[in-house]
Amino acid sequence: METLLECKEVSKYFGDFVALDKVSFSLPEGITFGIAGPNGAGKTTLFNVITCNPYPPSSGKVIFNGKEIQKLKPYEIVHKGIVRTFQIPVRFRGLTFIKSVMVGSVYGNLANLKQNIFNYNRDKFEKNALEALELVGLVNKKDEFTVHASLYDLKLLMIASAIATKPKLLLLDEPVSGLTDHEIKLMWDLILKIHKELDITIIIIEHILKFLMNVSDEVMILNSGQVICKGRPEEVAKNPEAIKCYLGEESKEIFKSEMDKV
Amino acid sequence: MKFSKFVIPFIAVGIFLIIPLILSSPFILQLFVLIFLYALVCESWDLSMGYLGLFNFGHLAFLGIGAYFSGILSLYYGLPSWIAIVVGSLITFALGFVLSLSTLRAGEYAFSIISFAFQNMFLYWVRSGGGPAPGEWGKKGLTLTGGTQGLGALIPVPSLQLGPITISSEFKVPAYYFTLIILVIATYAMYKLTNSRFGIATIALRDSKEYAIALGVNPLTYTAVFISISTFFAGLAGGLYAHIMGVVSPEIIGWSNVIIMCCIVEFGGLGTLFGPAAASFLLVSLTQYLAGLAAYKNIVIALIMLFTLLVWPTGMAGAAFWFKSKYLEKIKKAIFNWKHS
Repeated sequence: METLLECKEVSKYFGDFVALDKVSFSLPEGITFGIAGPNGAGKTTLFNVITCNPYPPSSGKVIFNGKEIQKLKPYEIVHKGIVRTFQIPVRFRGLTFIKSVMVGSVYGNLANLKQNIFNYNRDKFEKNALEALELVGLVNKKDEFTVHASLYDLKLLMIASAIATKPKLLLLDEPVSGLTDHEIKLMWDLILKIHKELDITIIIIEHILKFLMNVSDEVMILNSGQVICKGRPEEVAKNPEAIKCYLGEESKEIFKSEMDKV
Repeated sequence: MKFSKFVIPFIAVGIFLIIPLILSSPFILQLFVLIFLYALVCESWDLSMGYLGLFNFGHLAFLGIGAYFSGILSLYYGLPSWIAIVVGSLITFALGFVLSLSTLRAGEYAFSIISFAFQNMFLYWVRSGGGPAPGEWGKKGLTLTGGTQGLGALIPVPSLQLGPITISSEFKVPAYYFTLIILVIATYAMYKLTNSRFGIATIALRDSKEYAIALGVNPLTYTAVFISISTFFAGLAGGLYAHIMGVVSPEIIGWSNVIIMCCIVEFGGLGTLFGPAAASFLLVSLTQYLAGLAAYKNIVIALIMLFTLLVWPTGMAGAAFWFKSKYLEKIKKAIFNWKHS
């Protein structure tokens, strides 16, 4: 498999505080990759520096598709094919569901003003947005305003807007936190569907381990800005250091039983 | 269904079309011309304040730039009025673009401060006279902007000539219809703009800048486009004002007027376009009615603004939507039942 994303000694400092300490990993194309770790481990910071939104890394290189991207503007990175969702759900209060997805559909695919004026094709982008909404199952709410949307709908809407930009790599920041078990199951199916049908490589940050371990092909554990271990979920669950810093002793059993169920 | 959105604007335009046939009082017609121009300014201010969420303190400076530049160009340099208006509007477009670039480095709050400074600088430049007028005019002792007396106080700014029709404050009816047509066209253009893909981008930037950028919106480009367009319409209104009224005094861009205009936009409802247009009708009439109170009328305006901000922040448009959602369906049902009973 070809390498899609590679981080080489990526660091991020806030003054004296080290949020990411020389994190290196590479991500093959076409997998789902899970990132876990205690609060403050630098998981979201890693997403922030990969997308340069809102800040770039302090040092190190982020290589996507063979090109360095750490000096690009955040919207240029979207046009390269990396898109993210946010941990705390965000929305455009003044827009309806379909128009929120249109933002991703139009501006994720048209790189600049010139393209926006000359290459704009309303039907194409609207179809694209509707397809994205249909995939996540929100098409019946398309003309509602997002002000009244529930948490689950907002998470789905963020994913719909993200996939409307036609990304190669999708970064999901805690997609199932705060959801019920039933909703987690639905989100699980959705993520696998996006992964298979649209052929998008996905990175997921999540604290709910039974979700993360089962949905991911590979898992990486971060602690205090450093990579503790990385590998197949079964291996990571047995890693003594990962158990010590984050997973806990019971994780093996929980993980095993959940795997048996699946 | 799509037609129903335009019913009220159509009725409003229809009423405005027949007003000169009923009311021939020159004072009323002059007032309406002023209302139409102010409505244009307030709508264009709403583009940046309501749709973009950027408080452009200097918006009226662009009204002034449009008015003074087109006035100066046609008065001292002999440019035909309509060309001067177009050139003046394009100058405001370019200056709006330059001003919007300040958001790149400084951010949104600093943009307000920078535009505030810009407004003040322009105001003082206008009041100072800006040096002697070019050529013959300068020798007669005229200054470029006319100082505190205003441009065109001694020799009026040439009026707008469209073929055989003269549009100036002398001929109320042509001026009335001309400004009404411009207002309707400009409103329609702005309405289309805010509902287009550009409008979506600016609303997205207003509601959550970080998220909009994460979906690929280039914040600077679309901020600059929107602010430039908003200042363009302000400049257009300024140009029309100069040539129709024949005189531009610094008072139209003074702080007292800034407060009135700001109040109109707030009172009408931010980000609604038609709200500020309707509010300008009410509040410009009110300020004319209160003219006898002189400077004290600002207290009334300030109270209206406070009331709007504290009690009903969505303004008149918000009230209309509230009424629609709460009662309109009931009324429709009642009419339906009455018809079928």
